Amino acid sequence: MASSIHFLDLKGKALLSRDYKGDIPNGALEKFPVLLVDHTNTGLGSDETSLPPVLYDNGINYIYVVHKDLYILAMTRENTNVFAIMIFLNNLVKVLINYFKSLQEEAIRDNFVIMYELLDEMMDFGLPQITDPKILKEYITQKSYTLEEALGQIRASSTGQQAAPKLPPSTLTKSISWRSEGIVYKKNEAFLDVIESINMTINAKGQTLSSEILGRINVKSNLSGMPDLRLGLNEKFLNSGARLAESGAGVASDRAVTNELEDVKFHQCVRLSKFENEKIITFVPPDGEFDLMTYRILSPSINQLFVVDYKMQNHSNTRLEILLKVRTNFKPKLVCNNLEIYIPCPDDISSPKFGRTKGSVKYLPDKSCLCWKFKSINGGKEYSMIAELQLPSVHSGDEYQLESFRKRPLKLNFQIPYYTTSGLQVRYLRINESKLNYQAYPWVRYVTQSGDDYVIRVS
Amino acid sequence: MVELLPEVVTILLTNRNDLEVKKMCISCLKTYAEVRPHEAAKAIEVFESDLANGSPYVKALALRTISSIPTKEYIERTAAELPVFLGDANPYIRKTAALGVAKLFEKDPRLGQEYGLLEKLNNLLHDKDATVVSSALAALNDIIERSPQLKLSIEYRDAVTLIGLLGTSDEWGQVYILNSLLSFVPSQESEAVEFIEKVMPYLQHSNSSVACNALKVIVYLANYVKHPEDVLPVLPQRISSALTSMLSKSSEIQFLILRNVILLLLTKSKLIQLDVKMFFCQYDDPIYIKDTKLEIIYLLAEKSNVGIVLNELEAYATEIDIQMVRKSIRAIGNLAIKIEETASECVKVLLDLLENDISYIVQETVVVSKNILRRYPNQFEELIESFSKHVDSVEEPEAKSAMIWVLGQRSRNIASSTKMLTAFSEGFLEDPVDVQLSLLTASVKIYSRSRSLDSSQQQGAEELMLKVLKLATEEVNDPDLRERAFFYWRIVQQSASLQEVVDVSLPVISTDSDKLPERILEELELSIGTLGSIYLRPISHVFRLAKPKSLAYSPALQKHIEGKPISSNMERQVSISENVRSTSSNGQSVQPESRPDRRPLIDVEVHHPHTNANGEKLKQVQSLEDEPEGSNIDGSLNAPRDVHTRFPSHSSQSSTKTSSRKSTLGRRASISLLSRKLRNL
Repeated sequence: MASSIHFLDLKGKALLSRDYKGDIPNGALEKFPVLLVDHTNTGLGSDETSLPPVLYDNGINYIYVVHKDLYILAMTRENTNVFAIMIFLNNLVKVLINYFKSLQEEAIRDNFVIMYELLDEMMDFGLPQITDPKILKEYITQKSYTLEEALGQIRASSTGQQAAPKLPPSTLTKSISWRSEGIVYKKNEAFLDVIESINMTINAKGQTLSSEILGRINVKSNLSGMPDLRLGLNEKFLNSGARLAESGAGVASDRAVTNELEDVKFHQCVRLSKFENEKIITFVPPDGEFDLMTYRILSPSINQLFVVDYKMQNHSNTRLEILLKVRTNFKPKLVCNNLEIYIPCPDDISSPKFGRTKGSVKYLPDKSCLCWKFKSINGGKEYSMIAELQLPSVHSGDEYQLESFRKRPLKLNFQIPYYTTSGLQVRYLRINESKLNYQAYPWVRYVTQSGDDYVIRVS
Repeated sequence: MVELLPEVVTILLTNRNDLEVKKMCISCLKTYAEVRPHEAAKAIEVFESDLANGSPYVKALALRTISSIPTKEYIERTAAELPVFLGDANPYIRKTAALGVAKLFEKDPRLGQEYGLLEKLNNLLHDKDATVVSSALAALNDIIERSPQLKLSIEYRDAVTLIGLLGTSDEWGQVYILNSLLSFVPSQESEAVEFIEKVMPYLQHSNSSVACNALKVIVYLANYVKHPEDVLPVLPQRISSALTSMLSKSSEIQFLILRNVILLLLTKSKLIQLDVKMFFCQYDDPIYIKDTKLEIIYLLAEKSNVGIVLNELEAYATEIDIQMVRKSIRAIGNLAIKIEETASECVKVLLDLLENDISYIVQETVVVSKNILRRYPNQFEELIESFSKHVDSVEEPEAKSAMIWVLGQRSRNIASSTKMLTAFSEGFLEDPVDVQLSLLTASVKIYSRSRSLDSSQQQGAEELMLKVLKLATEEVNDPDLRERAFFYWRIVQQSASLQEVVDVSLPVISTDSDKLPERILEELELSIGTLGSIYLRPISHVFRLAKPKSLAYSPALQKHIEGKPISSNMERQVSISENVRSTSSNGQSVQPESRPDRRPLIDVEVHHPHTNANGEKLKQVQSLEDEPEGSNIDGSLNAPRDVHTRFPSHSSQSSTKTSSRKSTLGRRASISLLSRKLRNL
């Protein structure tokens, strides 16, 4: 597996290293920044974010992630499981954020001791061991210095309890490794959040090119003891997966069937074989917040939630007029919050003028786009907006370059509470703790929101 | 810092009960012990006392420390302590000890053998604690990867036990267990199907590493099922949905997944049904993702979806990012060559792109069009017409060569080809060698054809050729170019056979040539989720010390991948295995008795290639050395393997490669027969 883990600053200078195997030659780490520069120069991309996360040089494999102003790098000489290393790096970042609140160069400089201790516990001989922050916190209890403290706002850090027992937590080796015993809450509650993110690509003609729903059920469990939970979802939702699987079986060659893929992924606490056989979701939850399940529905049949009509007029390269109409295409009783429409415009414009029937429009020069914002907007309504942009009188490029901003799509951000696009509904959440036998209260909340890619192409 | 080591050791010796100080000292010790082994050795006493009477956590810490310090004293201490702690009551300590064995074997395998640690580690695989088992598997895997003589082999019921443990181990444990399942060779199709079904749920794990290892196991087992997509109709859908759902993770993970999708498309395209739309690029994808997606789009393109694919590629070809534009144009060109029916549509798109008259689009379009024109010799006159409008804007060497080639090859259809080539010859001396070579060939080609033309054209062609030949022989320093020019010159003087030499019908090109050989794909397939699957290059090229992997033979093994010349190989396999069976039946019948009644859960096979294994190990080990022909097979097996690792990319090695393959097959066949026999007994 990984031979060593390093933290480097943006210039590629090593801040902290932990060598697990000692089979990496000395010069290899110094080579990393050179590699980054080389790759950038060979035209693979213009900026550093476009480099692939796996680099190879002279027998050494560099696997890295970028987080804020840090490179977190793993090196190995062997043909190892790169997924495991990548996930480990991601988990490492999560754990460190959990300890230091925010992970950046300064946090590392302030916390060398605890960093080494964590690195020792999380990986042994290059093999990932414990990467769950909740378990780590049970026995790595050194005081960490968060940035706020450094700034003088001293407050009791949640990690600061010193007098913890120096025993290996029993959770390390027993079958339920994600929950420790003896958790007590005065009021036993479980909160379910069903969050669906929608990604859509719509072309200039208004046709949906691709659409998907990325859903997740987030659970916040404030439950005592070792509760066994059983989650009931509506049949329609569960069956749609099964039905698809069957129909996929019948006509495996028919590609149309695969348009509506359904896929469910569960947290490690869910008994997968039970779900496989009986379609019942049962689990012993970890304490606190976690994603119980994530699912994905790929379906061309999702209605476009917003119908957008875009027109652009170029008045002889001196002035642009952008006309935008948006219609909310969902039930009138639903309300959409914080709708933001990002409309790309040329890099260099002056004195923008706006007219609109609702919301507010702003010009964001750093992103080269306009932003049309609504605090809340009801279903079934239509609004329009017009923007007039003055172009610089002298410009270097030709018309093609001027209008290259039209290659960038419109982007939408929004949230619709009390609504799931997929039709998923939580029927029940049964909480059963055989020893303590308490009354527990489940809560459910739904929200549909935009994913990272809800875009409308305009050319 | 090294200077401070003695001080640190003193602190360690005096602060035995402060765990935090101890941990810091240990960090320092681990880093510098190698430089000052004598100073470091003084601290060993602390760990000894910790091991003797610390709390479990302290014991584990001490064990972990002494096993990771690479000096002689510590190594010896570790080897002596490990046997005790491998049998400790506390699972956390057993787990730490298991990894300690791996650390020891890395530093001093002989010492490990002496203390019989491998067998003890092997016994840990019976442990009832899933975490211990998975750590032991991880340690074994590490040891085995390092030593060419060891091989892990798992029997059917052991595999069942392991799968049972999957449910109770944590996510990393699941990774190690799934990975070890590759050492199980199903002897019947039904076994493979059964395991595929059992592993399938883990495709849904939220840790992509688990999901990907599950995928690896399934793909591996599918090799032992005749038509996996018919036996398990849900399988392609499940795999595809698992893959696509991982695409919503961070872009680094996405990248890894996409590379593996390419691999699967190359080897097991029947096991996945992916919609090409899934892989359409998002505007803000990083370049490396777009790049990989483009490759997938190209691989997924077929007659039925070529319409949307071309639309999408055309959209990319007018993007802002130049790299992306070039790559998508290249993809369009390759598509035209890959699928004949789409060629005319692709050409239409290319013509549209040429209309834009943007320099880099023109360059790239010219380059790919050359291949299209070569693939379809008498078609697409419209491309040539459009070309002649853009002759002046062709600047880059590759595009220039392509343009010159087209002008020469299709001179019959281009009225002014001679004139245009003459224009190119103006800058002959400044051009790079590639362009010079193409111009040389093109001018000779035109001359060879000009005899059937009218005199003015003949004269133009002759002038051009003489000019180029003169420049190439007198003014140029490049030996290749000069020699070729002389070569042409002499043929021109002989004159009779000129046309036959320079203007023959060209062999048809196809895109198949970029496919990787079957054997390399097989190895890559067994490396799903590892670095090799990201590079998509022959494993031995990148990882010189990696063990070669290939599918182990079993009666159920299917090689249903199309285009693989297996039929003859298969026969050979059968005959060799029968041979072995008939000749070795005597030797084998002895073996079961010499084995202990209770076999270890999982056998670690120890093969000693040339010497005879010592008797003690034979008891536990399935060794082939007993067989009459064993040593013979062994010798031929091991020699070529060495060749592989030492000269990974040498082409002259192909003959040894085939012979090694044959013998490996024979060897493997005998192993599986052996184990089957044992089970029957």
